[in-house]
Parts: sequence; structure tokens; C-alpha cells
Amino acid sequence: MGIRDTACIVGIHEHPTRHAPDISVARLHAEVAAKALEDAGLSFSDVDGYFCASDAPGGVLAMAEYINLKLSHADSSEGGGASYIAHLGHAAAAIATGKCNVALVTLAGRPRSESDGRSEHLSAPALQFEYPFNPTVLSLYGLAAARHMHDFGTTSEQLAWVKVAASHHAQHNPNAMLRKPVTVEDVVNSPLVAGPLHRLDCCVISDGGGALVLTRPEIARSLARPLITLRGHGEAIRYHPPLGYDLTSTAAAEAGQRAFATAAVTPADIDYASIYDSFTITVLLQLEDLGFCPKGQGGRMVADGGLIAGSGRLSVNTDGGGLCSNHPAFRGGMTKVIEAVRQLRGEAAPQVQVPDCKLALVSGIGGYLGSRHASSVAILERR
Amino acid sequence: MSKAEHSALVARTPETLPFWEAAAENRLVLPFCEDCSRHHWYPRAICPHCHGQNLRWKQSAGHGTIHSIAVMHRASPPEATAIVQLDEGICIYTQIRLGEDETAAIGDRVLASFEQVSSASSALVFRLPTGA
Repeated sequence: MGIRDTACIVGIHEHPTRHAPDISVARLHAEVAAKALEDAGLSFSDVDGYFCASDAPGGVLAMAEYINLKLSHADSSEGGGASYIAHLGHAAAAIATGKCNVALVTLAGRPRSESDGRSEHLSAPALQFEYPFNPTVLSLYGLAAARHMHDFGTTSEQLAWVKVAASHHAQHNPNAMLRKPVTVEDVVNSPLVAGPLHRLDCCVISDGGGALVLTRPEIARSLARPLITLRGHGEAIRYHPPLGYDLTSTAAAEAGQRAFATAAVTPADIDYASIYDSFTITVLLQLEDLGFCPKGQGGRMVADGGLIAGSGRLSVNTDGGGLCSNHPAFRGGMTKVIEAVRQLRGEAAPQVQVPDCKLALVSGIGGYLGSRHASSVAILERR
Repeated sequence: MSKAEHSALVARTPETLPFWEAAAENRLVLPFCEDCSRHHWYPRAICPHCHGQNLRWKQSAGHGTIHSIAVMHRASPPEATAIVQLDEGICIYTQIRLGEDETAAIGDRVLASFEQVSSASSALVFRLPTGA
């Protein structure tokens, strides 16, 4: 049995807040859940499957208790910021095998209001050899950018175009943190942060959250929302290899291949793509690994407005993405799914709506490039 | 959190003690599998290549090449984070210690050395070879 078309996304909600000093993370989870269910035309009593990751305070059991969910299935699979894209496939599998009928996925966090613990568990056996230097997400993405420039001649100006495209989209998103369009010069003249990465190559730090509701196609057809099915799904992990190293490709290569194979489509068929943009380099690497351009050609693909909706080669992150709109809980996967569903429903901002958007791809990477990271890729279709 | 505090939080495992004992004498030893004749990094109790358990510690001269380097500008003073590939083939997440007039780039040769992080722990770093 394959995953294709076994589940539909019937409810979405992105919390409008970007700064929530007076709202608990648990309440954010509950609020986005309620709104996503409302969007679907369902209620909490319909939910029998629940999916969340380590941003949920106390984990899946504590959140199920907080909301008082009556569950036949619960899943707390953890893949960093890619978790919620992974949950799409896990929810579809649970629905297909009869473990649940209505699956709820939530994410929320307040890294802007509180410096919450997002460090990797200190018992990871590699850490005794890494921790003296406090390896950070930032340093590894800087190292990846430096090596990509060395191997392929990628330039800071090309990377900057990823941010420029995001800022062009964000001006049409009233909730985005950074709504002012920026230029390539703005990006490369902003202070250097990590290796060749500038301040404006990095995503925002925001509070917020989001939720998704999935169900089986028979139930989805009875609801008022457009039918958005999970057509393809793939996951992969990578880690620091025992010999050698690879900073310029990611687990998205394997996850993408699996997703395209399940969906039986190719990158050329994709109308819109949500690509996790923790940093500009993250987008470039995924575009290459997913096959939107050959390895090493990402810089050329994104340059000169390549990702700007309407005029570019591929419309990417039309809500402004993590680079301009938000990055709740330091985890971008949830908002990536939400904007893809908006595009497929025709509910994106009119200035960035892809005409007749039928097939969308969502790609996320969680963790540390070159080292321990997870990739999840989903292909969504409007029926 | 300081580097010393970080290190104190991260448990050393019984299997890796010989690495840290050699480090205390400023010697770099690397895990080597007698079953498949390969090195691996980071050190662990089972060979990640062949899953054999016939491992021993092999002395390394500590010569390597910078695979990538990124200066972290927000550290004070800025720190040069790097991935260094040792001549044995393994790659290590580390930092390059540069003198005031020194710069380093991808492809540069470097040499391993240990520096004290706290009274109880040391860290593997790399420097440019003297006289280079």
C-alpha cells in the first residue's frame, strides 16, 4: 500500500502573532489547533490522531492532556524544523492503516520572548567531541555556504537574491515581520555573521505557531474546503559520516527522490514550492538536491529574481518565508505546509498567487547541515 | 554558558577515556578498526563501517587540511570554526587558532593541538604549521 492520496489536508491555521510575551506555548498550541479545526469545519471531538514534536511543552502526552484530546493514535516524531512535514506522511500512514480518522498536527514556540532550550540532547554521544566549541546551527550553515562558494563559484550576491525574493513576497503579507523589500546591496552590506553569511541571509526570530488537520478522502469530500491531497511523501536523515564529509548536499536528495517517486511527478511539474529558508544557503542546497537545477547551479537559478512569484523561474515561499515572515519555535516546516495549501486553494495574497496552482512541493530540513539532520518532502495536489 | 560549563555537562563515556587520556598528554589518537582497516570519527565502541568491535587506538601525526572555514563574527574575539580533514580521511568539527597576522582558507594545511578548556577537560583544535 502506498501513501499516495490516502489523506487530505482539510484544515490549516497560522497564528498571526510574531511576538507573544503574554501567551504560554501550551496556549499557542491549543489556539492554532482550534482555528485549524474551525477552518476544516471539524471540532476537537472529531480528532483521534495527534502529532507534535519537541516544541510541544511536556511532549505529546502533556499536550493531549492540556487540550483533552480523545486519541486512538499519537506520534511525536522529531526531525527538527522538518518534523511537521514528516508528520504529514505519518498521519497519512496512520489514516491509511485505520489507526485514526482525523489527524491534528501542531507547532508553537516563543523564541523571541524567551530564550528556550533548543539545544540538542546533551547525551548525544558525539557531543563530547563537539561541545567544547558549542557547535551551532549558524556555524554549520556558514561552513556549508563557504564550501559551496569554493566548489561551485556561488557568490554572496546570488545568495542575497533568495532574501530579495522573500522580501518582495513579504510586502504583501500583513503579518510578516519584515515587510520592506530589500536589494542585493542591502543584503551584502549587512554585517557578516557566520563565514560568508550576512545578517540578512538569516531568518527572523519570532514567536507563533501553526496547525494542520488531515483526514481520509471520504471525509474530506464531505467538508466545504477544496480537496488537497498528499500525493507524494519522502523522508531521509543524514549525519556526520565516519569518513569524509559533505557540506554541499543534504538529505533532501534522498527525501526528494522518494517523494517524487511516490507522486510519480518531476520537478518540472511543480507549480509552487515552499522551501525551508532558515538561511539563504538552505534554499539553494534544497533546490539543487530536489532536482530543480543541477548540483552547483543553485546560485544561477535564484539570481535575478529567480524565485519571485509571477516573474521568476519558480515561485518560492510566497508568504515571505522564514527570512521575512516568521520562524516560530525556530522551526519552519509548519508554515511551509500552510503557505503551500493556501496556494493550492487560491488563498495566497493576490499579488503572489500562482495562477491555477495544482501541484505544490514542500521541503524542510531540520538539524545541522553536514551533521545530524532530517529532511522531509511532501507533494500536495489540488483535486 | 561558558565553554568550561558546556564541557562539564557533556558526559564522557568509558569507551572514549583513552582518547582524553592521550589528549591530556597532547597526543592525538584515533579509533581504527582491525577488522576492516578503517578509521572513523567520532570515536565509539563499535566500528560504524563494518560494525566490528575489534578496535584499537592509533597514534596520529595530526596533519590535516581545512575542508571549510567560517569565522563567527559575533563571538568576541571572532572564532574560526572549521571542518578539518585529517590525512587519515576523517573529518572533525573544530576551530582554527590563528595568530594576529594569520588568515586561513579552504585547502590550507593545519596541525592538531590540544588546549585546556577547564582543569578537567581539553579540546582538539588546529593551528597553521609554524614556519609555513
